[in-house]
Amino acid sequence: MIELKSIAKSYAMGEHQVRALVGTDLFIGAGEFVAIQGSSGSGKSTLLNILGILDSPDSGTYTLDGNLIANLSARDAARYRNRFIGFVFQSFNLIHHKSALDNVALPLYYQNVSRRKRHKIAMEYLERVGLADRATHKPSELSGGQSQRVAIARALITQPALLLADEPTGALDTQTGEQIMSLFRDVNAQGMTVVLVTHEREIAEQTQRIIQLRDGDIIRDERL
Amino acid sequence: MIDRELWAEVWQVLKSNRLRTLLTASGIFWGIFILIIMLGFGNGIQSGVNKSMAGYATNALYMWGQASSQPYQGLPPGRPIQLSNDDTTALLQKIPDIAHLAPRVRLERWRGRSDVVHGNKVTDVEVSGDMPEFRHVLPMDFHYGRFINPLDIKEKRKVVVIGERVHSDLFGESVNPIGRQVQIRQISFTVIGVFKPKRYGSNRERMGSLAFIPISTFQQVFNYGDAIGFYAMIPADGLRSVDVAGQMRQLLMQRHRVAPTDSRAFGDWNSENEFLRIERLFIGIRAFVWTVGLATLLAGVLGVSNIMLIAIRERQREFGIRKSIGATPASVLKMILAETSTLVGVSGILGLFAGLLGLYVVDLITRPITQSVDADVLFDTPTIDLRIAIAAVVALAIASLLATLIPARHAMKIDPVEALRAE
Repeated sequence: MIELKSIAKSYAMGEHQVRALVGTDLFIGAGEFVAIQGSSGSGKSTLLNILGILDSPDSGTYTLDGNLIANLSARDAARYRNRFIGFVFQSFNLIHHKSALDNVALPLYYQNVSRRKRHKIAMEYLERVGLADRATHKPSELSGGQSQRVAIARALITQPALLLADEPTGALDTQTGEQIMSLFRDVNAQGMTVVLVTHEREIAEQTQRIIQLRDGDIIRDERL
Repeated sequence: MIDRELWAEVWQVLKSNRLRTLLTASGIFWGIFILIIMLGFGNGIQSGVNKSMAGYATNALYMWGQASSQPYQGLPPGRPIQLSNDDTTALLQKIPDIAHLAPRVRLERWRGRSDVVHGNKVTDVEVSGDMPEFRHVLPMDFHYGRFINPLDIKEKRKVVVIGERVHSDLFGESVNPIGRQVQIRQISFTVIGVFKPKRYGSNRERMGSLAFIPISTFQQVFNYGDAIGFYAMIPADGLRSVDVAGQMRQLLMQRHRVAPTDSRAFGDWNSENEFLRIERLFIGIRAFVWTVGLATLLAGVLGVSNIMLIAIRERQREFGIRKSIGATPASVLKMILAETSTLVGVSGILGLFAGLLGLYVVDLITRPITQSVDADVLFDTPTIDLRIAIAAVVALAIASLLATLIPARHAMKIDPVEALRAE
């Protein structure tokens, strides 16, 4: 599913070059449920951005679902993100002026699915995360847990090969976080590859595999 | 181009930011509205001034003999100068720059009137002897009959062309007077035409009180010999009447043995200077209208780009989200441009209609004053060339799109990582 070979990435921070990733190799198979763990500055966000084709590495190769991700134009990158990857963010990142239903349906808009059809599909996904009754609510009328569930429904609607989550429980209380994690487990149980980034050990332990990052390199890769 | 999904998306965005949408729209609306109103008023003033100008050709020049003021070739000063038919022939032969030369004679003094009689009715007219060429000096239409023609001149026919008021006073408005007799100074003339000037100017009553007799007939029956009262002259196309008048004056000076330095022997007057002055006034008004109008529009465009700039800043996160879930840079650009063009298009068209409605209301209010027969106001129905109005809206839309392109390109390049990181 995911194959990273000697991925390196560095950023200019003022006068200094910060090496976020120093030549990482990583293989994640289809259907895995993986946590990337590390303290801040360990390179985990950079890794996630590269996995999500939001950022491109300075060197190394990235193969996603058999496709070599390299030298993509902005347009092709957008297309890959749309087709292959679902994102879930710590701060939910819903569009505030759209209803829950419209937010979930938005990725299908960029696939030119008709309004009626994408609303129908979006409704199915809202049901799946248990929020069918909140379809017309705006994000400001939803609790944090509800918002994150809407975001997960949005990430899933294109049936991506890979679900990427960046600190998905970071803004939620423990109990709500548990609900979200169980949702991820369900999704994974149905065959979706899920990669989540977290700095919390308890969250990481709920996955099947923990990849520990420090100073831009993998220091531990344990299967639970 | 007609992408219902895109418009639904645009509509949602515009609706969700009502205040911002309204502010931008009102800027555009106001710009177009002001431009339309100002153009309309400009045109209203222009046609008002035009209407108030006399119906005579605007480049006509009049020249008459006065008296010599200097001794020359043994002749004393103070000698009256009398123009004659021979002068007419000489002028026409030697000055090709004259397009039309209309020698004229009057029965009375300047604007003096004589009685004209039909049966037991009598009214007053300004009688003149004229050539067919006079039609170029005073363009006219005919209710009945025709103007004087060369055959009238040649055969010295006793015929007359009368004005509208004379016609209605003597015959009644609905009576065809052609072939009927009228008497001027006990001499009978056959009516051959009833004219109305193409433009009345401000002296409609006077225009209706004119009577034209063939000049040859006039000179004979009223014992004028071959005397000419004055010339009305139209210069050839592209020439200024004052220049041609110089040539006329020179020739007439030679013919009447007047000192070349004697500027008082012949008098002249022309409407061209007047006309040019008014023309310049119009140019000034138009320049003013367009300057203010375009400045208002420019302010509208700047308003749009400014608000779009803020709007895009504000929505950076949204564009980041959209890009992370599959929006291409082109689709982001397309959406922003669609938003702008919708906003500008709709408010521009509303402004256009409001402006037209405004002009209509102004017309309704001012009509009783401007359209009365002896209206003496320099204002007429405000009109606007719809093509100009539409062009203004289109130009505004294009300018706004161009102005939006800068912030929109910025939005296109938003890095989702950056946008989503910003909390």
